[in-house]
Amino acid sequence: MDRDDLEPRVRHVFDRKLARRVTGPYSARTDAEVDGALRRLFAAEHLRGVRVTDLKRMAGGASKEQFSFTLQHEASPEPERLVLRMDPLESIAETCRLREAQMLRAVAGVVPVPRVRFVDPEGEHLGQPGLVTSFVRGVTKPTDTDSTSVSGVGSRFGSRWASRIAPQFMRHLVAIHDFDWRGSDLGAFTAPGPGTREAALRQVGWWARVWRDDSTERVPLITWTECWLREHAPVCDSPVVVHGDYRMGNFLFEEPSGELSAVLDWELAHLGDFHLDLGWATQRLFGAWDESGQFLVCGLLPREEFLERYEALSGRRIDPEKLHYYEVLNAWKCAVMQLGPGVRVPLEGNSHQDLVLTWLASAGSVLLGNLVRILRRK
Amino acid sequence: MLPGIELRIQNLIKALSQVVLPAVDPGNGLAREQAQLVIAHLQLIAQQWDKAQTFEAQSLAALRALGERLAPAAAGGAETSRACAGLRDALARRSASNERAELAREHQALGTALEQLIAATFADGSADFRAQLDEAVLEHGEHQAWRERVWFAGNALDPDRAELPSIDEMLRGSTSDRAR
Repeated sequence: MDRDDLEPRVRHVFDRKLARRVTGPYSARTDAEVDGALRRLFAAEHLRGVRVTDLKRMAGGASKEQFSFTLQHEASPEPERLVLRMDPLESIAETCRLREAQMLRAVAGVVPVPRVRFVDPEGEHLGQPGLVTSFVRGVTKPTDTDSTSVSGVGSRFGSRWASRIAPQFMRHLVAIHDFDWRGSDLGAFTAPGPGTREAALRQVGWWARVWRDDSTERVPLITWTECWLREHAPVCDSPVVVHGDYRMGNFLFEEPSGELSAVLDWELAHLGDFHLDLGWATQRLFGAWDESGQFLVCGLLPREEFLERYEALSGRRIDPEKLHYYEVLNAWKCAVMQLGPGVRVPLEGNSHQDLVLTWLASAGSVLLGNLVRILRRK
Repeated sequence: MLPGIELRIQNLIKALSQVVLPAVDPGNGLAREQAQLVIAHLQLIAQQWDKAQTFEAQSLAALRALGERLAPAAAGGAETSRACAGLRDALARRSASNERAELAREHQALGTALEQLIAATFADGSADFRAQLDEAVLEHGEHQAWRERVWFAGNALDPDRAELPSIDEMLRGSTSDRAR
């Protein structure tokens, strides 16, 4: 078994991270720096008479620096509101803007997503890798509902909103998995072979590499789980597009209609097993409890109903053992993220959000406790 | 009398809360969030700073107990035997000092040896030892996660923090595993 079996583009991103690590520390970009970076990008795109106005740092964004701005130029005098997603020097989720752009372009029309306008995969013009997309209106949680949200985690929709949003949430998830990706330009992705264990093993390899590069303390449970995941990796019969982070907080909807306006955050998207998305969305971390104490997947609907609706809409059969496997993998992945880069990146001072990352990493043990609970099937 | 660490942390929180934060531009979301997080971190540090040495020493003791449970039981092929020898060696190199850097070094060495034994056991450990290792690692992981949840309960990110004891109770060992 090749323990380092990674998609070539993913390996490139990790190698690049290590090479850049020593060039830190990193500071949050100022408005003037971002303005200059955008102008360099647009010059390289041969835009003339460029006006960048109303540049604003967007809330959230522990992983990437995000800014909204308005662009006007000679060929397009109508003002266009856009979003820049730019990598800090290192990120809690080190991912690839080229893959994200390719996937967004591929699924445009399949589900609502921001439109890709420009991409700078290596940061040749922006200074750091970045992606510019259209600005989509909407909210991640109802403005009339209380929540205790960290990156959208912990939001509760309430029954009025849940009844409107849940059917769309299910329909879009099924549409992503049903999408025939084979005709799309996904050159930065390497598909796992159908009927093999590559889909699972590459995910394990991805996060094992993250742990190897970033961990600062030995955690036997993390190592044991990696071995268990390699030993139990299931066969994926037919690889699909996996969003990788399909949960509350990662979609926008409009008020008051409840119409889902965009599925966001495709940075962890890959070709793999649909059970991964199911096991991700159903995590306690992303759910909420209703007034009667019942757990709701992403604050929207009970777990059994979520799984039944998925089967009914997709025609796929959920394999309980595979679902359990991906629940373990996802819980392990979350712990790796928080305790690996979540500590290493602020230690190096290489993010715009060192303080937030350290704060979130202090909840890493909640994730480890959750991992044991899932492994023991409690 | 010199100003103590507790007093200075308390002063920092007060100055940031009452003077600095209100003066931050409400339109500068990043600056406001950072200021609030500095206050929150200081509140956590105030709960932990004088107990950190004890907490870390107990974490090391738990890791050592895992090693001492596994080393005599290890059985299997060449990889397991080699890794077990490495673990025995790490266990024998007990630090004489209780200095923080020494504890960290010992923790790292023991943790690395344990990780090597885990990987080796998956490769060629005997079935009986593998079962023992599985249970021991899960038990250690569960207990350590519980201790760390108590340690960081003040961040209010744990949905089940209401069921946790205080840091002092946890460090005194006055709560049993059943408390989990």
